[in-house]
Amino acid sequence: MDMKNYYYLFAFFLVLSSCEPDEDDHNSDYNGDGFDRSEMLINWADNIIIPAYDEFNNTLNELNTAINSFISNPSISTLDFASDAWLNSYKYWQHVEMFDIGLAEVINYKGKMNIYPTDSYLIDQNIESGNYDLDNNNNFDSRGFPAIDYMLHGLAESKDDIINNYISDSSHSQYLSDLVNNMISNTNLIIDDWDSYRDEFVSLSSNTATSSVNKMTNDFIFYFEKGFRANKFGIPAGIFSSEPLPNTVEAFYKKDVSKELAIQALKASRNFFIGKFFNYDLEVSSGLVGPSFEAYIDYLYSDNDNLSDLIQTQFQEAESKLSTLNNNFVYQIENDNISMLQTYDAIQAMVVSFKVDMLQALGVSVDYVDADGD
Amino acid sequence: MKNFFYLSLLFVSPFIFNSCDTDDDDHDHDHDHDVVVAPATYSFERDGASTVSFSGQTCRLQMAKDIYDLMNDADGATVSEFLTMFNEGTGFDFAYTCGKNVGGKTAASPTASSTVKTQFEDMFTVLVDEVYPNWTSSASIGVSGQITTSTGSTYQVDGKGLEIDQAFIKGLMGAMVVDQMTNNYLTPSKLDGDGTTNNTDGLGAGEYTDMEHYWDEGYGYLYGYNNEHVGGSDNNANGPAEGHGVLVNKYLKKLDEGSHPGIANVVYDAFKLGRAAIVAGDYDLRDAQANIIREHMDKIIAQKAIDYLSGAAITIESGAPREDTFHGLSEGYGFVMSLQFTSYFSNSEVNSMLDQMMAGNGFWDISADDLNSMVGQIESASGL
Repeated sequence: MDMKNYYYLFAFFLVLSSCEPDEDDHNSDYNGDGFDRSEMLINWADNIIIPAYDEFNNTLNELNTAINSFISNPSISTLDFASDAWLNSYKYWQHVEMFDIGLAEVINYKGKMNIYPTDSYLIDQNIESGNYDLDNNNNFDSRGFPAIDYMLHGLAESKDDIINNYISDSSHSQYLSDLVNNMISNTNLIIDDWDSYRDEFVSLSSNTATSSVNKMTNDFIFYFEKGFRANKFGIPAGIFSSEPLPNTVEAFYKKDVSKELAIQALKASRNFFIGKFFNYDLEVSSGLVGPSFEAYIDYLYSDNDNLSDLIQTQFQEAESKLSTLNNNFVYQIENDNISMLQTYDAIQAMVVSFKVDMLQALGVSVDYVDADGD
Repeated sequence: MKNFFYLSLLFVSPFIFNSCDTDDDDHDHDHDHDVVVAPATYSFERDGASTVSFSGQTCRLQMAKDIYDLMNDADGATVSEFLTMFNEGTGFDFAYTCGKNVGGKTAASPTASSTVKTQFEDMFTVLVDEVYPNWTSSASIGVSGQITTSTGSTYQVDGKGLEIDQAFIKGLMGAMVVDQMTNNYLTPSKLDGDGTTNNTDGLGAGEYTDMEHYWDEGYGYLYGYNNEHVGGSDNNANGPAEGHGVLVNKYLKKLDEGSHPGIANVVYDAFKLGRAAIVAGDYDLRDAQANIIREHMDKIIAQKAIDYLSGAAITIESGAPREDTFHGLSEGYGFVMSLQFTSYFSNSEVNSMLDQMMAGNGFWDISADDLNSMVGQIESASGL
């Protein structure tokens, strides 16, 4: 079979290349396979990561504006306005969560922005005491988007009662404002850092554990496996427990948007896989494409029925399963968890494609392992 | 697509281990396969002490048998008691201290469908709510209860003639044993991990590498059962096919003594040589042995599914009472469930076979033609 021969050939080149003294980490364009990995890194940084952060930052500032107007004049209309801005920014967040690299990794940025389920008791306690440091990791589950979800949708049953919390007690307003300001200041740190980090990022194009290609590839797969597959589907559907845990869905308090956020996350993953330039209009599916995993795989494979086609088909399958779900994942899990599990299966099939087949094709080692065994 | 995946699995290890180590040379890439010699039995040592460990598998296999035995007792347990045993690994007569359970390793490999575990859990509900209340009253079409075969054997079945305990334990052949063994522990991606799993630096007597241990865990699912915890002397680790317990080892022995003579030694030898290959750092040889094991595990499952379904078809065609087929069909049903964990069938293909078996009044009206067509499907996929 052609593919088999190809593998042997490829393995041969790879061994050759890795036997050469590797002193030029910083200016090597190649992995011994002829693909221009630097161009891929430039595409990732300049056309995807940095523009996505910039647009995300804009939406956070809009959320801040909306929250300020709600705080200064709590009403149903300002609450709805803040809720809409929260959802909008949360959707853009789905397009940056996977970039856990550089300063984002150092400061645990994603851990500051989107740990759920949020701890409503801890939030209540923080509000009560007024004594909290949102950057302290003790507050890992009382900050970020999930905490704002609770503050805007979960403080009470009705909107009127939620608003009354803010009217009667300014410490609620303070906490809400602190939440969004903390998210903005951390996001600004990341964006500022990319100004200088960008050149280092694109220069580390070799195939070593610390090169940008290897790290970003692992980050992408780790995100897809944990941030996307496990957090959004597996944990709530009960894959890792004896019972489903519907209260662990993303956006638990708003409830009817879990699916929308998951759709954005899947779209972000697909866009990154194909190398599509970030577009501020999240609904636009066409657009310019630069080198990324798809081009890299296509460069390495000559077969028609290749891995990137398989992965594209799997993306469609996952989208199609996801599209059948209820907007409200709590409702979905409580009424028809099998469909949730089938969506999980479609996503899990992709994890195998990424983690086993794609890593092997690219000759990249996995840098994290699951600690499961007997 | 499935073939593609397996093909690619074969080639994972060279890529992960291709760096030319200059510091310590654990993995010798130029060795000759002939130098790796398997020991006479599955025993491996480091500095004079055994490195073979699979106590977790032993525990899970014992628990699976305990649950199965209880399912055969009238009012053996409540649904929640069964679920506690299955998912938490507690609540048994024997006080297990291993901290393991069956549920966590049921359809739990990277390629298993997450919808399967619920199918097992739901069996407890059917058993307790539908079968237990009618344990000694006669079953009939749509009514659960007891059946008596023309040779006088009695079994308890649900309204469609399915014996729940058989579906459960035969289903676990694939969902736990084969899935954990061949779709998890013996895969290159599990064994190779992050590329450091076979690093022997600093290991003392009797200490093992992760890779050695993963292989042993795969081994343990086939050979790990013993009943020493309850004072017995059965131990499947004593040889290539002891046949004790209620899971795959039992059928390895049956096939070895029947339709597939020699299969037990082939599998046992592959386990020994693969483990020796890990010690020698020869991952091509290791993966070749894993493939031999997979091929034969898949064969066991498919052969038993074929045997039970074709056996029932013959009985139906003979004009014997329907009830004579129920026990075998129930075993067949479990082996069909198990087929999705082989390389022959997907989850949805298996579910449609299961639906076919349960259509209408289930075993009360399934035809010999239906069964023979499923047998043909399995034969053509498996080459048996």
